[in-house]
Amino acid sequence: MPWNEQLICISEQLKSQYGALIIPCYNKKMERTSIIEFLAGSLLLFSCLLPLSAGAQQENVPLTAEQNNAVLSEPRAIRWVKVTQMYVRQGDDIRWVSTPVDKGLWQLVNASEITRTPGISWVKQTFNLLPENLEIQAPMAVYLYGEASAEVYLNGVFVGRKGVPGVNAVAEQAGNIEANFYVPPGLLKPENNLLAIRFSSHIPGLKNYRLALEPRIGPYLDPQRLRMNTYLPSIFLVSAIGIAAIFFGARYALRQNEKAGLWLALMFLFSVLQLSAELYHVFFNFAYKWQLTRLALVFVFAIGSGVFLNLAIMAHFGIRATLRWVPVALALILSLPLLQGASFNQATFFVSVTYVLLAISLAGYLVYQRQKNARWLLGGLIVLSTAFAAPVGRFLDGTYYYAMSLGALALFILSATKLETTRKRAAQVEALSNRLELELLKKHLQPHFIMNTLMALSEWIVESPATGVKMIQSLAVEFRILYEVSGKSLIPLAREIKLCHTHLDLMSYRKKQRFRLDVSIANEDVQIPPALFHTLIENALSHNRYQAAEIVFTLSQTEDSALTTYIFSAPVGKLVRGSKEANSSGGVGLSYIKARLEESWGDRATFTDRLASGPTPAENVWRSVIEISKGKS
Amino acid sequence: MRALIIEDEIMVAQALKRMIANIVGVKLTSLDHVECVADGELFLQGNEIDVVFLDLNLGGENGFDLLTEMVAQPFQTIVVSANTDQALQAYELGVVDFVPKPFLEDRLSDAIARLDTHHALAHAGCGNAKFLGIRHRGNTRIVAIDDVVRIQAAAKYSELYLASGSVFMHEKNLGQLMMLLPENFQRVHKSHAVDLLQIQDLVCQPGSKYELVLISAETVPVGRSFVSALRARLA
Repeated sequence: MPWNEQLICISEQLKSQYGALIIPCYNKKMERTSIIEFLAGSLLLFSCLLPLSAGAQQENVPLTAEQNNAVLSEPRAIRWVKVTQMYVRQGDDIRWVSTPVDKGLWQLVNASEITRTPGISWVKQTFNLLPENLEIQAPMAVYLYGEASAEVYLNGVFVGRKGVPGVNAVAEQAGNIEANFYVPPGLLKPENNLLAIRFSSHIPGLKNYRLALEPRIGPYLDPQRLRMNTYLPSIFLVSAIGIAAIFFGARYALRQNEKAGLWLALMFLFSVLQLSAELYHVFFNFAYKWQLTRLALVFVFAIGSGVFLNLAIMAHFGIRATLRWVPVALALILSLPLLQGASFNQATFFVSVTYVLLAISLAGYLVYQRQKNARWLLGGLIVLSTAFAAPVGRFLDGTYYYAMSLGALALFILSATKLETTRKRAAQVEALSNRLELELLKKHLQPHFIMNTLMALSEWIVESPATGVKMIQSLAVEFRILYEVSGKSLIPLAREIKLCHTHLDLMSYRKKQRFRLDVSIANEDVQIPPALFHTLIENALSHNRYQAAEIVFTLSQTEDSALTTYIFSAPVGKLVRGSKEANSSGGVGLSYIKARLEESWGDRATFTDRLASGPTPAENVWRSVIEISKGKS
Repeated sequence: MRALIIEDEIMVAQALKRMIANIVGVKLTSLDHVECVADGELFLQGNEIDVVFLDLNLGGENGFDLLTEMVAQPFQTIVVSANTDQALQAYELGVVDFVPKPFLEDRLSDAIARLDTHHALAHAGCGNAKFLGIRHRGNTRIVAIDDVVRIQAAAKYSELYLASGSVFMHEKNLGQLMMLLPENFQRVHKSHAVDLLQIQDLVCQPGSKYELVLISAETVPVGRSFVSALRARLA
């Protein structure tokens, strides 16, 4: 295929792609983004637009408003010949502006992947204008994007330069990454125009880095308006993602107990940074030498965003902490292709794909585990991953924004659901807390306790008034402590133990038996819910009939780095009729304990209660074990 | 009097023992104490008693079942309990008295006085029971007193004649039952009691023999010494 036919073929292809990018962008896809994001995004957009309009005024636009509007009102005419392949030759000869290409000396390369050579080089290509451009009498321009200083010649005539090419970094004046050159009227012919570019690129950085030098020829438009037309949806979406970062960040700052919120905020922050770095060249021109830095930043931000995405999922669903190093370690592995000479764009794409795939496999695992909401996550991630079907360039310039915003929307929903669940649970826990306080006080006002105690007391007064007086003391102390602790959700362990001893003293008088609690505590300086062990003692006393003269209960507390364990043992007596269920986990007292544990520690506390066999059947005990795992505080 | 205390609170049991001994005095022939109902049942298999002092924690159905079982047996029941809100239910099931804890000796003395059958012999029922527990082939069932037409003594037990025509055996004797039945039951003979509402006529037979004709057309003999009291009730 002759090169010019090839070029037409390419330009046709590009026309359909590029045209497709602009117009549907804010017709259809915008509507698909959520209303929330739209509102949030429009807020941020407003602040974004101000500096942009300021930037627009700085450009020298040799167009009248009429001319500009004439072009813009003819959307069909906004088409470009995008030159994607060119002939390159190292060296410098001003005659090359007009000589035809000698294919023996000039080498055909992709415009986006030109090998860097020292000194000055030239690229050349011929092109035909598009029929749409010819139809309207619009002024024409050459746009040039690339990491080089360049002079542009059309049909042998100099049309402009970005920077000044030089044989070395010192001689060169670095041009901007992007430039557009007004083409004097009459210079372009419908067919067989010759584009020649003299350029040099002394970008510091990776050795194997291949530069882009991408010219396109089309109507001269107000560059800012053009960019706004192209990138308006992206601004909305970046704003939405920014809102998500602020939202989750603020939420974490207010309630620091949710690590997932922090990771989520960081993920969105890094996404915003990545996309901002990606969009930066659109609104703010800069010397091409910064291009590598910009791309490196995009790459690093993409890694950050990927790492935090996975950390957020892991933290949200409580996946083991050791696994959380996986995404971080992955970042190092993902950086390797760069050393092999992959372009930053490719590396960034690769990073995004890898992290989303990791997240998908995580979500798949969570669905397998039947975790709540995991299906939604998996679905969302799969939708997000469809964005990778776009080619690398398109992905980073457009599709990625939609994917990220969709992800943000999904996470908003997920987070709102979780927030609501948490709020409901908190309300329930509070209601429960009030109920438990009442329950605790009521237990001691119920007739069975108080009337039997008073009856025993009156009998002691007959039998031994001195003992009666002591019993009154015990009763008074127990009531005093109960009154003091019942309204609290946590009390010092020492107070609880005091309550237990007092209760056992009282019960010793009431039952005319000796009850004792042996305590072995590793760390007394802790807080526990009120009447936890007190309730266990009451339970044991009301469901077992003890015959021995002395009955010993034991309470031990052990602590290691992960767990605080309390073991309470009560001897097994004769079972009281009708109370079989009470020693399993269904009794009222035990539900009080579980509710208190839930109130203070949620899932972190477990309670088990069972019959444990001793060396002989007579030494069997009811063993209650409370384990509190030390969460992240 | 032979008494049994079922009470798991040792100090309460001690108080009961001391007070009962004090109140009943020499008439007290036996006084035993067990801690739980299971032990009580075991004791009752080998011993006859007149009264049980029962600590009843009428928390759920268990308490109800337990009480039904107790009142079906051939002795009177006095409940000694902290749960005064269960008193009404206990009376309806046919206990002689309900003594709330904590109690003084005077209150217990009143309860024990109600066990004395003499004043109930010639008179109306003096209880509040609405149901009677009946032990029948190992099960306990409940009969509503409203359904009972008349009661006839049968050796040391009693036969309950129901409106439906059924007859049930109750392990308590007629004297014990009269203490539990409401006052519309009247003793009309050494061996008979009837529900006054079921009486159609009082007939005098030759030889000054009196007889009651019930709505159901059954006849019930009236003891000579019961006639005047019955006449007074029917007037």
